[in-house]
Amino acid sequence: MFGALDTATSALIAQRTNLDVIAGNIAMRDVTRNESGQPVPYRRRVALMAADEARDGDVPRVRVSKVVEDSTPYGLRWDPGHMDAIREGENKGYVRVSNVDYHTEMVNAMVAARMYEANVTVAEMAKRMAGAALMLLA
Amino acid sequence: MFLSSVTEHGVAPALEKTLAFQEERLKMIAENIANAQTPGYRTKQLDVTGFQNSLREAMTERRENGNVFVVENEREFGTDEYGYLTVTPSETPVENALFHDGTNISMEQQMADLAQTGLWNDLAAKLLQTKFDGLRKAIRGTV
Repeated sequence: MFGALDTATSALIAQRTNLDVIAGNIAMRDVTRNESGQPVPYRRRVALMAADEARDGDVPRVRVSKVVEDSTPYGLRWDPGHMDAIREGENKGYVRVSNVDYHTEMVNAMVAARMYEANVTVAEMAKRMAGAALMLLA
Repeated sequence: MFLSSVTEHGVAPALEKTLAFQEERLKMIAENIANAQTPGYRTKQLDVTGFQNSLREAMTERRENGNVFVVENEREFGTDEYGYLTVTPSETPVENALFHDGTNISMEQQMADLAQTGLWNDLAAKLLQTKFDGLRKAIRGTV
């Protein structure tokens, strides 16, 4: 009876994870060093959704199957005074920066918020319908 | 036996099947909306008009031939050995160009279907309740 509620809840969790990843991307955009202190900028991450096939007696769910790194190339920013600026070669004076684009992230964040809202609507409807069925007993 | 003959009388079985059908449809819509961003996911659908036609046929069968109320087996719905409604949604055929990630969801359609499901469910529940209220009054003998 509450199957639809479980499906909607799984989507809420997945979308929240998605938003977490997007928040991480926005927060880390200006990071130019990796964990070990080398001048390797942050790589943008993407949450991949996957449909969980319904097992016997269970309802279909959705989940974030994995968080993958975006392999598009890093950007270059002219900043010769920066500590991590490239010292020699043709890109001398440039700093390698992450491949995060604010606009893309903001649009994706809005999509995630809308998807979250849509699933809340489904959950509300599931509650209402279960309520109507339970009222038959009253 | 007596009680089942009372509750199986009239529109009650049709309303009960409608409730069961709309609940399954809600699950399907929930799955569709949950997977709106799943790459390669194709939305599922249920034939509502077909189901309602089946209900009408079952009513006619019962009235004219005195058969038990049974929803005939069709592609997307049917009746199992215990008399319960079975529902197997099918994949929505691809009508327009797919999105980049291979999905074909129309969010507007899903939300409209969701609202429709809720209204059908409310209607069937309300009518069923009215019927049960009438039965209760008849049993008690008071209004």
